[in-house]
Amino acid sequence: MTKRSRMMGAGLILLLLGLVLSACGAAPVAQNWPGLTVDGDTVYAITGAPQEVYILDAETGAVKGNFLPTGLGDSRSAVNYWSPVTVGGNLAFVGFFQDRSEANGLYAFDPETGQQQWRVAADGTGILSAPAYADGAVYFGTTGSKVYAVDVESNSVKPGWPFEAESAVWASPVVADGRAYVASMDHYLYCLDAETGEEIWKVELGGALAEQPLLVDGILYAGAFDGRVHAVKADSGELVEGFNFQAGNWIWSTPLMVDGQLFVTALDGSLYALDPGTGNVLAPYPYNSGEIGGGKDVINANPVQAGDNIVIATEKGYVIAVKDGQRGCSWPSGTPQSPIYTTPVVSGDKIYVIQMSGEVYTLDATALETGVCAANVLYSLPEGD
Amino acid sequence: MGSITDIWTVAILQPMLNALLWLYNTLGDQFWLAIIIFTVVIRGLMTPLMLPQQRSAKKMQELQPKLKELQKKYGKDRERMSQEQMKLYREAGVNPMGGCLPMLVQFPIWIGLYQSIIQALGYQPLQLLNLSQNIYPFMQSVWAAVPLNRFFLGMDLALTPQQLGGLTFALPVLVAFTSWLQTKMTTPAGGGDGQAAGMGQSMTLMMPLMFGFFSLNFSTGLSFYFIVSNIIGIVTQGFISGWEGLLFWKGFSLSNLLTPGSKAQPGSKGTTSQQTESTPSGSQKGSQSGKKKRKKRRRKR
Repeated sequence: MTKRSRMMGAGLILLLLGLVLSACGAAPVAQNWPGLTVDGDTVYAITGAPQEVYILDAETGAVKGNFLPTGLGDSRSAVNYWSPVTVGGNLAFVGFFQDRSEANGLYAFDPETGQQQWRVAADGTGILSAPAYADGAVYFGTTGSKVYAVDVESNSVKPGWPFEAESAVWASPVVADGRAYVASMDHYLYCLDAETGEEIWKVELGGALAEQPLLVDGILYAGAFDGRVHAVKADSGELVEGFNFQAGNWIWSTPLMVDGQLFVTALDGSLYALDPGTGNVLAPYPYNSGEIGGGKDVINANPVQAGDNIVIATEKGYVIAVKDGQRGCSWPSGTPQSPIYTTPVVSGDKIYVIQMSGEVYTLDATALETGVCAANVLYSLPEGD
Repeated sequence: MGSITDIWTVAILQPMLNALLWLYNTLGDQFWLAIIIFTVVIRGLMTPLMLPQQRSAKKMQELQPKLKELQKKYGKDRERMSQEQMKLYREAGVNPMGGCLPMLVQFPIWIGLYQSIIQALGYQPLQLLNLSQNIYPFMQSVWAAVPLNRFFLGMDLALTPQQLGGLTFALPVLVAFTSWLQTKMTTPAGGGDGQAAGMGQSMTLMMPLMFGFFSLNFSTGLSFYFIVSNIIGIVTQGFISGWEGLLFWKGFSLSNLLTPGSKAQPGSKGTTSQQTESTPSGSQKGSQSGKKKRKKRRRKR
């Protein structure tokens, strides 16, 4: 075998290798969308590269502090998940997961400075959604199929907990009236005793439940991967008879009730307004976000209310104010720079938005009425991040 | 660029992904079984593309003794050597690059398969979001199956052997081994001195290592595909050019890894390297000149 032919053979192999690596570059990227929480005059944004919790002044965007688990050192990898931050009982809570890390778990930190207070390791798996704080306890689900209730004062898992579902729990529990309602990827909606963790009832819905249900007037409205919104009686777990709604793709969001209309977003890019009793779509809805920029768009962020508008954020990166089924205004006016998967937060007269890239913007909620969707940068990633 | 990606997604990825998901749904939510059946079906559909490549490999094997003779005769005159080689190929009706085109055509299918397996196994938020956009609207029955059951014998098919550890490290080894065996059976034996031979010899070692490396770093579900695909390739090649290649332990040596058949080709029944050097066609089934030479040598002994 000549040197030349060996070289050619090796070259061909390298070419194939390069092709495979470039074509298959869509190898799993372990990432969740960045969390965004506003509490009073403070914004908690999961941003940076690698990500950490940034504690920002809600007015100026000035960084007041950061939170990163202590002892993590340089052993940080890009493979990590953060849950959004929840504030309650003078503490802030966040879930952290890094592939094969000893630092995984739920953290409590000082909401002003970011100083770590304590950690509960839980089962060491991912915590994707915001922990729920209620009555001195913090509730959260894990990708390891467990649901925990941690007593904040003793920072220990409450007796009787964790509860074990049949599959991962991505959604935040809804805690009300001594019960915790937990939506799971195993298709079940569970009702648990918030004190003891005992199962009160469970109901199988048609698909995976990735987001928490909406609890209104004793009815739980849960969007599922079967493209339906399921209405379940909170006291018994029975399905509400006659309620029927089917979207054009999965539903990965929590519905919103405004003035007797149930608003729901779907991965088909539409915002629907439903009759909460029957699930019938109310005209002139649905509004399809794909009308901006052409083609189709995807919405997995929850709809939020800002005045008379329902605000939605899309995968293409648009923030759209919808009123009576029509687009009032949208931002940006040009081509968006990054997708938006995180639910916008309305606080005071501002709408806070975080892009997938980690940039945080504010929109003037009062200007929506005039048909203006202009945004200011609240926090921008430093150069090089 | 965006449109190329769109064409790829619509023409290759989505059909494969939806077929895989349909199989999963039909086969009782067993993803490992869906991968195996899917691989068998895809390999079956690709048979018309692969047969010319495999037949070409067989013919090339048969021509090796003659090529060696040409090399001895015209080894120093490269131009003449090249002309004679081409003449030989023409007379035998072999296109030395005939195996390349089918291989290139298969490549997009191979990548599409890989992508569809990875997408179907998605278990992280962004992966599932991506998956939701590639399932056909009429496949609503599949929506309810997401996220898929990724487990087989307690092994998470979406994770890599590096993440899982333990016995799962056997998978990359098995992938590399079956890949090596397949490449060995399809690579023209007898060494030779042409560019094709050079490439073939590099591939015999490099391709298995490459696939073993992929399997180590990619989800174990992909290893299932590689192993099943390789086994089908081995069986098909076996029917076309014989099963001697499977007897790899006969006369096995490290140098054999790089030079298949040139020294102690499997099935050459106890040949020594010296013998096979003088008879490079030691194991060339169907090579009349090789057989004659062997008979002569036995008579001399």
